[in-house]
Amino acid sequence: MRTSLTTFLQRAALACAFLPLAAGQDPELLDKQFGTLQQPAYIKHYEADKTGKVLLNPYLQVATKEFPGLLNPKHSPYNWVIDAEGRVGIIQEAAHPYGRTYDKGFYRPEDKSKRKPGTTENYGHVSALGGGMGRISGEILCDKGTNSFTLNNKSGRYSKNNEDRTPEQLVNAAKLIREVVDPGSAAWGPVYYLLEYSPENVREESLKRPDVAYDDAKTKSRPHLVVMAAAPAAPKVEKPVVKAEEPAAKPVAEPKKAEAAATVEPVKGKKAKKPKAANNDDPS
Amino acid sequence: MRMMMLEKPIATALGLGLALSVGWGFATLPLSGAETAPGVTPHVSVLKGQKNFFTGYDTHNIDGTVNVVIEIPAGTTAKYEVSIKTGLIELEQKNGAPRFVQYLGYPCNYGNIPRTILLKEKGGDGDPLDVLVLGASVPTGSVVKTRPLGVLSLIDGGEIDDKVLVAMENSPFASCRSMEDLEAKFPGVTTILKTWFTSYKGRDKKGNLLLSSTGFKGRADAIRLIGDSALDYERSVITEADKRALDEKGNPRLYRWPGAKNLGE
Repeated sequence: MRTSLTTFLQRAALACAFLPLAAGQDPELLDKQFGTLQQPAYIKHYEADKTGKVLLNPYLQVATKEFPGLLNPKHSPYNWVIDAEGRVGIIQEAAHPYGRTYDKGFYRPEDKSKRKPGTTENYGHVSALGGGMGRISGEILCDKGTNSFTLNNKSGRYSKNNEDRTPEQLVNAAKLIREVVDPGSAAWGPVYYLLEYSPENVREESLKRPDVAYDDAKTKSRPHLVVMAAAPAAPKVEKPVVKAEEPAAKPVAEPKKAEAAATVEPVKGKKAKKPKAANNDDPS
Repeated sequence: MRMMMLEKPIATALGLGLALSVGWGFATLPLSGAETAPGVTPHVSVLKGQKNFFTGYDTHNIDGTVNVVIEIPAGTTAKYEVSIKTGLIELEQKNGAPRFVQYLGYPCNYGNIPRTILLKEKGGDGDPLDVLVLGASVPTGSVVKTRPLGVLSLIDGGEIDDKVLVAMENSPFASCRSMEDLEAKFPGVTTILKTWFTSYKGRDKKGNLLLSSTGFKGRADAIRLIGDSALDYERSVITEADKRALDEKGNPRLYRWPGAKNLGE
């Protein structure tokens, strides 16, 4: 136990050696914008090697204004996480080399959930930070119908079970992602705040809102808020190589002050169809 | 006693200085021909680092940079390469003689990304991913942090032999975000690289260059290639025996990690 803790502390210190604080990045401001730094809720049995080291995702990108990240609709879905310095870590979904595929499904002890047959153990959000502390996090999904990338706060490790992962923080994170990530040939779709991954007090209040939406209105499954409208994107890294096969989606009319206000205003206009969750429906 | 007390910190400082000055610290035989007298070249040269050059370093760092082991410094011609069997850097031998490129020196640093592999069953050569590193010339055995820019597509003897192009951190090229950026800020670099890498092996009997290239692909392709080859490496070395055992019902067990909240316990 002591050896494991010592090893972890050594690795954490080594990891921090590569994280110089950006000039002007006030930690308290980052806490307010993107949520406080939190340890991951858990590390799954396959995510660390024999020495206890959490493997980094092989497609890891850390997006900043100086070096923007790059998305490809063909390689969706992605996961994102805001790190200690306010940078955006982006990883691609891929089967973990220490993971398995369960033909008959399995019972996951971390959240006591039953996983479907054929579920594969993939790299999770922790593979963007090596198991380190993170702020708000979620998914980037490609809506092929509209050729756009949507964002949400779906993360069992850094979003769920935390007190301060609010809709406002998701909006801030989405603005940052749109600034420092190039969606390639796609546009930016809406941003969804999933109430299943929100703090309990936020969830209770949000369920009373008139603009709360559901994946299935009858069963009221997956309640969510549309906190940010779709928007076109300008290339930041490379000129798009693949032309969009579908016509670009018309951006939903943005409400006044929606971009600038600290509080989240309900988005007016048509309710955008929410793309499906990550392929294996893994909420981590 | 006083001498011993003095010797230890001095030796430690010297050792540290030596380690820092050559990257991660190695000391064996002389390096490339650039450090020997004219007409004098190393015949056999093997370099040992503090860690295995193939497996001892991570592919990625937490800040998103990619590690590269430098085999051939810019401007030199000695063909050093990492041995995936031993983890050492060796001067290539051909027919009992050391290999030196019979051409101008390399236009950039040349190396490979640790813990990657281009699988033969996928059309690769079974070796780690080759990298062209833009930046100042650094010694063989240096491990540098880089960011991907693109991919030089090469065909060598009918085989795909792509090289990832990267920019060394803290070099003038580190400001480039893409191949377009590189071309705009540093005109001619891509032409120089393509010309060198398609010409250095010379021509065949028909007068055609032995190597050919379709040009450069973008950063997205570089990210993909690095990720695929890193994943292929890990999957090639990890076996079922390396994975944590399931419980009697075939379900994963709860794993306690010191740096996590360990919810679910």
